[in-house]
Amino acid sequence: MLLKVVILGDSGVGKTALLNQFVNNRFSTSYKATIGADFLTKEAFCGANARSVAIDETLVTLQIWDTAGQERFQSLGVGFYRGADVCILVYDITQPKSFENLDTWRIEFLTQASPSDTQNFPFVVIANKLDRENDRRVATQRAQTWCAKNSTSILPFFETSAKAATEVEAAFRKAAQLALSQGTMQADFIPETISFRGSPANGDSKSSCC
Amino acid sequence: MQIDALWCASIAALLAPFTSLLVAHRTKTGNPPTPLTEQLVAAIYRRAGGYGLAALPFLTITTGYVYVSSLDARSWAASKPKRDAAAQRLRQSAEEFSVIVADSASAAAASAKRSWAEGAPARAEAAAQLRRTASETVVAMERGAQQLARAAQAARDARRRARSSQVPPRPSVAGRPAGAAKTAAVLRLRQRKGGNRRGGGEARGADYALNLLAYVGTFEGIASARSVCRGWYRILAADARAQDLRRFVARHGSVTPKARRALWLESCRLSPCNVVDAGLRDAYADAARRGQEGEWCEAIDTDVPRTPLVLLAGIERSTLASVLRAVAFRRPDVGYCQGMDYVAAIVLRALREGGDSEDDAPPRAFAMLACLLARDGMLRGLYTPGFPEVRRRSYALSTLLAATRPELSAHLERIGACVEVAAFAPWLQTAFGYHAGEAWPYELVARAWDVFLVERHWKVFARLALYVVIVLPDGGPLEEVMPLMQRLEHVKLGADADADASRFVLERALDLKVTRAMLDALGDEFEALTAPAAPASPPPSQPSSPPPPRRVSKPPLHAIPAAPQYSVPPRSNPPPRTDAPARRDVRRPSRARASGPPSPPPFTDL
Repeated sequence: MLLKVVILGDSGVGKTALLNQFVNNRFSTSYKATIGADFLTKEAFCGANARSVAIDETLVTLQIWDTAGQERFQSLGVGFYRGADVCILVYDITQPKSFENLDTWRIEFLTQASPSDTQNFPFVVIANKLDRENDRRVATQRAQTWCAKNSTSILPFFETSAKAATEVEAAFRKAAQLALSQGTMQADFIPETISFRGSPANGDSKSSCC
Repeated sequence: MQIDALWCASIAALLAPFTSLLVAHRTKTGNPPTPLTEQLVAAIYRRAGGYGLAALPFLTITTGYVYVSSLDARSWAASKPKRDAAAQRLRQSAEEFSVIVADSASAAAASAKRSWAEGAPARAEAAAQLRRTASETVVAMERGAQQLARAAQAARDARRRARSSQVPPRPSVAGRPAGAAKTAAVLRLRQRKGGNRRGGGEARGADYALNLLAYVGTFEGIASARSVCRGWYRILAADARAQDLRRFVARHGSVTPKARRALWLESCRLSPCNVVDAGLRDAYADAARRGQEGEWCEAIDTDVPRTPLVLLAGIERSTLASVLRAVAFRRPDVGYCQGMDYVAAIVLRALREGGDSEDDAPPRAFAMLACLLARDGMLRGLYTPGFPEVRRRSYALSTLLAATRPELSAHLERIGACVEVAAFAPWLQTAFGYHAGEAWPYELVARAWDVFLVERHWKVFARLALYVVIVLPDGGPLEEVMPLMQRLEHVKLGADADADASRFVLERALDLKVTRAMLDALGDEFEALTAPAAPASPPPSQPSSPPPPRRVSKPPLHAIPAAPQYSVPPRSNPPPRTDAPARRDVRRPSRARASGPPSPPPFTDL
């Protein structure tokens, strides 16, 4: 099963680093700025339900599209936003501006990708560079508030560090699981999957199912 | 001893009158004179007389001399054994020394002889190598001459046929081996009618000169030919083929870093002289200073530390940032866009390697970039908001790809490879600097830039981009196709590939039949396509505006001329379809032309 994941966020927040940490388990201090779009895949076992056990896990291939972060590049996005199953929004906890731009990124994505269900399209919010906690300028509370008010359900929120590999895996797994549940819901209308959305799945759930 | 005593006595006797005289004198001066001493003195004076007195010193000296010489003679005689011994020693040591010298000389001679003898096979080998390469060169030259003759014959035949059938022939170099492109270019150069043809003899002379220069194939050669002789200067200055010659050399010749610097500066209407104009220096300093407050600073500060080190090659990151800030200040409507750092690094590096000092390179790079980003600059539309030129060029490339390899194009679209965004946009926006130092050596990128700047058109980048996509394998899922396109793994040369490998890729790309007219026509077509869709609409970054029409999925069939003109390359003989199983599931798209050329086999030998 193929899942298309799109990572968005300001320039330099660490999208490429997160992606490489998740796919290759590597971190480098010398990533080039992504121009246009980059692409990586990873296969993972994932279940659709947050509480499900390993029985109904399926092998999914995540096609992850990394993007250029500069605002101008949004105009090129239309091609690969389309058909996305889940979108990951990234900001840098040391850059308040990158957090403030999450709104723009979200609206831009919804406009250009035009998913069938705009209100319930799955997003995952990642606050990156947790290893620089000393320089933090965006409070966790603020981000959680934003996550709560921007969707009918609370957006999953992860604080990660691509450098220290903190929570990266969990965030991507959550994204895959959301995409899966969304896909099954839309494809088969299986009512059980609603249980996840109804569940108080806040951002700190570690998605232990995966 | 007796002699000594005798001498002493005689001297004392001789000196006695003196002594007494002196005594007398002293007594005369110091003490009251006594009649006795006065008488004595007077008696002596009288007795000795003038001669006697005068002879006294003489006698003394003579006797002294004789005495001393006798002493010398005795000591000389006494030292004889010593001297003999010393002389003996001297002789011995001299003999020893001569033996040593002779030994070492013979040893040196022997070793020299030995090493000469040892070097003999190596010398023979080198000589043989020289002979071999010389003979190979002769063979290659003969082959080239034959090729030229054959091509000329073919051109003549084609002309004859064309005259007879009244169909203008379309000379094409596509499909031939890489070396043939050069031959064909020489031929074109020869065939091209100059703007101001002179009389028969002189025209032949000019032909000859241009052919010769084309063979030399360096800008240095052209420059020196120009300065050596007035006739050559006239040919190069007046003949319309001179521009062809420049282009030819940029494409197929060799460009040294020094010539590259001059060429690039010249193509941006900048003086390549050694001293930077003071006005330019001031303008740069001013722009760099005032650019520090722009909105672009944040983006520049984010990106410059991430610009690949392999591309920078010793250029300070602070210099790069300063140039970018100055350019952004000078062209505020462009500002800074990701990708410009690559272009600036390429330019700075070419200038530095061409001999500009650390102080001279930044102002010149600033001027060059400002020129390239000016209102009609060749790179401007790649960075202005909305990226009009990226979309335009991507459309042209996609259409060319669809016309050349319809199956591949359809396949890419089906698997969702966003070729425009994932491949064409980064290639175009960094002018292939995205891969410099990783997949491709810097040399290849610089050579592509040579052609780009001499032709003053992005055609060479179009050809490179098309080449990279065209040689993709036919099938394969997205996971396999994307790494190839992103990291050029199917046409990878490596960062330190030699010049021949770069030349090979460039020649293959230049072999693709893409003309300026084609690209411009496709660009106009894109404008026409998008204009009615969004009449006087704001740039597409506005969320409210409708998304622009998919560029690839809806090419207006009526607007595309007949297929052969746009097919890239128009290969005359279909290659063996060895890769047929790879596209068993490819359905031929509706817009694939019925007479679409068969796809070339993937170049697995790369």
